[in-house]
Amino acid sequence: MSLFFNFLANPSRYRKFAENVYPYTLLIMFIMLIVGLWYGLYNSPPDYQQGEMVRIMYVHVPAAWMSLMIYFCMTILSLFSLILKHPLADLLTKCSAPIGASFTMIALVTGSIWGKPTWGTWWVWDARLTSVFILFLIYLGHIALVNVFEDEVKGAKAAAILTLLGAFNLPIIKFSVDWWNTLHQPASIMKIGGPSIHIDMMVPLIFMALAFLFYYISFLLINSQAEIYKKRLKKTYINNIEIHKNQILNNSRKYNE
Amino acid sequence: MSSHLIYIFSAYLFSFLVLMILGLKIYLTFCSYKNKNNNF
Amino acid sequence: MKNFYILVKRDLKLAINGSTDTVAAILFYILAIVVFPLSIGTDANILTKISGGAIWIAALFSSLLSLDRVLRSDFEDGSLEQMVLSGMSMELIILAKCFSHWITNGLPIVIISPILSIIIGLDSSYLWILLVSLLIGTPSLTLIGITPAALSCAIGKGGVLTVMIMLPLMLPVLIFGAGAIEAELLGMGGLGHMYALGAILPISLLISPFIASKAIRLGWE
Repeated sequence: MSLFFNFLANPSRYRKFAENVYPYTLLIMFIMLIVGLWYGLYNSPPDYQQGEMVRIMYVHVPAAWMSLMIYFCMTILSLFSLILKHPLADLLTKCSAPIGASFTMIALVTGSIWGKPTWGTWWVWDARLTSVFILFLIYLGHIALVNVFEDEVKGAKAAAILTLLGAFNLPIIKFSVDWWNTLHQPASIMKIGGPSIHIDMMVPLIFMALAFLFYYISFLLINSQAEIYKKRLKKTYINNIEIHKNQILNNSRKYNE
Repeated sequence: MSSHLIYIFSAYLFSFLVLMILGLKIYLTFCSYKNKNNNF
Repeated sequence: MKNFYILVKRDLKLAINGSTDTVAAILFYILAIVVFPLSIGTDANILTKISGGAIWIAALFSSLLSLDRVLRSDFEDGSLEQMVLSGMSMELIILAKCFSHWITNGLPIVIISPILSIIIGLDSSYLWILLVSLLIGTPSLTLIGITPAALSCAIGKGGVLTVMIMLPLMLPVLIFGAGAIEAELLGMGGLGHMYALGAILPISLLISPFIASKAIRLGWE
């Protein structure tokens, strides 16, 4: 595994790897999405209490899972960046943040849409909703921080520090529904004793979760390639300015003699 | 209960719109940078 | 250890001489609380219900605004570098800055809060929980906020970005602190919230100096 990471540490090799792999991950994403939607919208039973509204769970829960997983990946990558100084870690963190923020926003909005007819309210400040909202703010702060630096390397390291600081929020989100007994439903899938959800509902959930996971992987690969190209372009531009400047200086020296 | 279909529809529509807009934006920036880099 | 006290005394002298805006931060705290009865009206029931939250919000904003300058003023004129070069460990410097910030900002917040509780309409029997929650909470606010303040050294300017980073990180302290007072008002007992506040303080005390020192070294690269 460490050989794999060391192999990919060279940005050129990583770019070639990403260029080859991303069409396949996109394809897997589309397949998972179609299967998940078919199961979720058509071939699964309605809830006996909520009726058809339970189908919102098939976008809300995978989006929430992805928002947490992406932040967890960003935390590990930030540790790699600050401690091991792996050259790829900063790149991947910067490219993951917009995707994570989008998933968090989807989770918040679909949860709100689910909540209005089912539990009667668009929003309530219970522990899980509040801490996911805090997660969304931390994502936004990360994106702002990375872009405010002129020196990109410094910006990435500063954002890594911020990611580590915000990582305390993840256990609060996970365990908040156990610690406080308020509106949001307690854990029913990832808890001790195994999932307590019926298999007919588990299947579309897993397919949608896999679809979102491969969405993340595909667009992480595409976005990081774009970043590598952008850096190369900037370097060429700076090199061109240097060459141009030297030419002008040489020409003016000849003119002055 | 079936009058709630508008909620389900809007939830799925919102999530797919967000994912599609983000995906298109990332993909289009990727394509434009890749085309500018063709002299490598 | 002696250096710690020397640094704290230096910061306190600077604050007393008026070259930092500590007094402005305290004035802002008082004004922010005075605004609440002026805008919401003097209905005693409503004011009592929001009183705990209002005092905590004012304390939070006062901390946010005064933390901005704590590290950056010393970073920009080079005195932070001199302190590190003289052999003092960076983490100790940050702890000394946190302590002096708490003495000039957090401690006045705690001391003035009983007077302000009269303005905001908090019953005097709940004064003890207000004082204890502020006493445990304001050091946490300082410690949690010192890392984004160190990041603002690396950015080079402060402004809204630093505040935007500090605010989500400080929200749990706000939630527990204001929640403690609200729980007492409702009769449910605020002791659980106090335990949570009491847990946040040592964790932030252990983690913040190291992360903040990393952020300052980032500014020197």
